[in-house]
Amino acid sequence: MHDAVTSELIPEMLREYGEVTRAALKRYIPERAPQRHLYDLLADYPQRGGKMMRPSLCIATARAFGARLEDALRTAAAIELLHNALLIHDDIEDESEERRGRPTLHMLHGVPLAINAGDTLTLMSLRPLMENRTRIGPRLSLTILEETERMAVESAEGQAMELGWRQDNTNDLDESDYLLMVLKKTCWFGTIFPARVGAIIGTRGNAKLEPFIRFGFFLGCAFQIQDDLLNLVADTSYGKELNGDILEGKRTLMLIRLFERASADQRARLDAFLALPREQRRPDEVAWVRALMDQYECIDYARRFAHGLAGAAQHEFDGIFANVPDSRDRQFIEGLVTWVFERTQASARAQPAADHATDHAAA
Amino acid sequence: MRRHEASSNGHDHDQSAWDSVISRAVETGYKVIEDQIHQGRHFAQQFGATAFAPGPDDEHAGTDAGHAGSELMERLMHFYSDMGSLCFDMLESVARNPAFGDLMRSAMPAAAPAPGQAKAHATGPAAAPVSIEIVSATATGARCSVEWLRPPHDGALVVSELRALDPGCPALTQIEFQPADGQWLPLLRIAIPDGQAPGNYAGMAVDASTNVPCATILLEIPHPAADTGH
Repeated sequence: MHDAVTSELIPEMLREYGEVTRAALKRYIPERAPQRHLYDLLADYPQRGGKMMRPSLCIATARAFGARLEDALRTAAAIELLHNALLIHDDIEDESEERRGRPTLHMLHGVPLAINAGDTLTLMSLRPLMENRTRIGPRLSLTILEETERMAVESAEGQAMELGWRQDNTNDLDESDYLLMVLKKTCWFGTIFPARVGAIIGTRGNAKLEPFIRFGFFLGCAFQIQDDLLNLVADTSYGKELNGDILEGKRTLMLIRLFERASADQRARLDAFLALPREQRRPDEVAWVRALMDQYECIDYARRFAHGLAGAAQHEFDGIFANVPDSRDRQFIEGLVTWVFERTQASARAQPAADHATDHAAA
Repeated sequence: MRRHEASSNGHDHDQSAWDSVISRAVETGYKVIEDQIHQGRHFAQQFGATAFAPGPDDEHAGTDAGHAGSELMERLMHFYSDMGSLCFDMLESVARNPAFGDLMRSAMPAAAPAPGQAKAHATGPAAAPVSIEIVSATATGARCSVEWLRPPHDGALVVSELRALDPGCPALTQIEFQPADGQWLPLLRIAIPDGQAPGNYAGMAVDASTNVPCATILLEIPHPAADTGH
């Protein structure tokens, strides 16, 4: 696929499928009491925008395999409800202060109300999944619920891995550890699950689902690494503070590579820096870590690594979609592989409301 | 966990070294994902063994298929009754079928006998396993029954549209048959469009390879006033 096609088609379809998903979403968030302490909170994050990649991937996959948009719409809405629920809880766990350019929900309303809102959104995501039965039948609905349960467990395990690394100041990590964490924390919900449930809907349960794990894994990992790279090279208009991941002590591929390449003295200093509470990490130390990443070419390394993963994603796409007729939806899914790297500083500026958090929201 | 690379400075990469990064990414990525897929398969097998079937070493393996079928049925009934009356109706109609016990035994993984034990066979013309799924947003009281004439030769059926007695009434055309898949019974799926007229509809399922009639399918769509729900 030509880059020009990708750069136009992807944003266009994200807008298109994002709009229909948001419209469907409104049906599930009621306007009734307790409005101020619950339902206003539920509607807050969805109203702030976002890339809508998950629901778009679900709808596009379903349609690529022959389904109608309406067949996938409830599942897409459920995905977005659950995504926003996880964002609320992630922001609390990560002590984040901003989300999509505004204060996070717990900064606005306090932690107890924010936790309750996240819990409510999680449970409300079940409604459209149950309503699926009137459109795609009980069997496919049950299969999608089973997929949802698996995805939720995988995501929770990934989140626990990363939070545990930070809590224990674990720095003896390699690329396999990192990829496993990203697989669970980001890929399952970001790419694998939307593609799998889309395929289930599109093929009426007849798709072989394992290849979608591989495709979603490679695509999601490339996406995550690129997102982390942008945090180190983009300006503040990207949506997060430059080098914010270093300040947070996030275990990125670049940091893991730095530990691999640094001298023993440098590793000891890095270890001490990451052992500090976030508020005690000084800007000059952050700058030192960033400079060290340049010295050891960790940025270039991660960029190459991401390109390798994207190549594998393309390979997996070719296998899955070899016999699927060409369509706008098929082009969209394939285009995501190269679009990963088009999300540059400039494109980030063009999407001020997009998710730039690197938590569950990377994709 | 990590290995450390000895390096006096960071600028020692040539092009081949950068190319090797790409290879390393692909190799590491496939190793991670294949390990996870393997673990997922293992877990699924374990789950299936404990949830749906006695293990090969179980004392009653091969003779307890009815119990395993009942357990699955109970789980499904519980799930479906939670999901709504429509689905409950659907499974209830399957459960009332006298052939259901045979159907479950013939279709369940649990029915696989232990070595040396007799296999539980479904016998007679009513032995073809199938579950029925009715998809409708409005006709929540619809009921379907299948009268078996003979089991299909190789498990595959072709199902005709369902017609009402009234020739002016549109036929139900969204009807399909899906063969058995893993733990699932073969599925007869009927979609009822919104606004479909109430009444009795009938059709035929024929063997896909021989075209011999195997079953008649009867569907009742009640008048809205008669739909009392569950």
